[in-house]
Amino acid sequence: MRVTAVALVPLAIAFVVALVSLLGKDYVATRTLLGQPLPALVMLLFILAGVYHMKLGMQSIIDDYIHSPKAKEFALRANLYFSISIGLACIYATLKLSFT
Amino acid sequence: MSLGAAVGRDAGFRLRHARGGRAVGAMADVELGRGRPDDRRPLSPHLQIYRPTLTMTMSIAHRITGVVLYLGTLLLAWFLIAASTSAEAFGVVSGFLDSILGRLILLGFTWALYHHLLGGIRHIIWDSGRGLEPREREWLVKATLIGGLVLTALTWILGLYVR
Repeated sequence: MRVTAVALVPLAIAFVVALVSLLGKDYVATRTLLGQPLPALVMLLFILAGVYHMKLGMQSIIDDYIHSPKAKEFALRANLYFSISIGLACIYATLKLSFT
Repeated sequence: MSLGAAVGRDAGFRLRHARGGRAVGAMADVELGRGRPDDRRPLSPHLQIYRPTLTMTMSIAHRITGVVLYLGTLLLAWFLIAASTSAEAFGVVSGFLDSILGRLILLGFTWALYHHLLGGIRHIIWDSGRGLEPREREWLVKATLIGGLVLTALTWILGLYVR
């Protein structure tokens, strides 16, 4: 949790800067910016660290508030599947922007 | 009632009745058993009857903004997938984000991200054993609260200005 938190400080700032520069941009301009190596790399690192961080965070929330073993098991699995799916979707889309 | 207040105060609990008399009676009714005098003892206080402190509220806000950002990844995924799919798909997302509702949602996520980010830095500072004195921790909490709002405002002023 700590490792990803520290890594996410510069990554999140870079992410916001990228978002601000994307504000109001059209399709071609957005693809051009996100298709460049450095923005794409920052985006990939942000997604990886972010998804892992949010999976751990949600896990501790589930541990704190859900007490019935069955519900806890279900919530933990849902958290894992959601985090992996969203992470893969974002990574796939980012890579596709660079390579097509 | 006065018994409840006295017991609570003696036990050193930071109870809500520190602020006013009304909660005292309610608390005493709940907390004290109504049987033989020996049963009339205070029970363990629950979170709800602690006087809310700024640090406690901010701790809860840290969790809530975390959950908000968790759900915000859906929007990020939608945006990235649309941008990598087609101009039509991208048009739908950017049309939504350009609407007033979309802008408000983005504004909310920006604030949640900064608030959570600064809260995380605060926790790293606390974990290192620093800033834990009463005045220091109140200062830190206020600094992160105001910092999140200021950074959000700066980002949006910059974003709209650059446009």
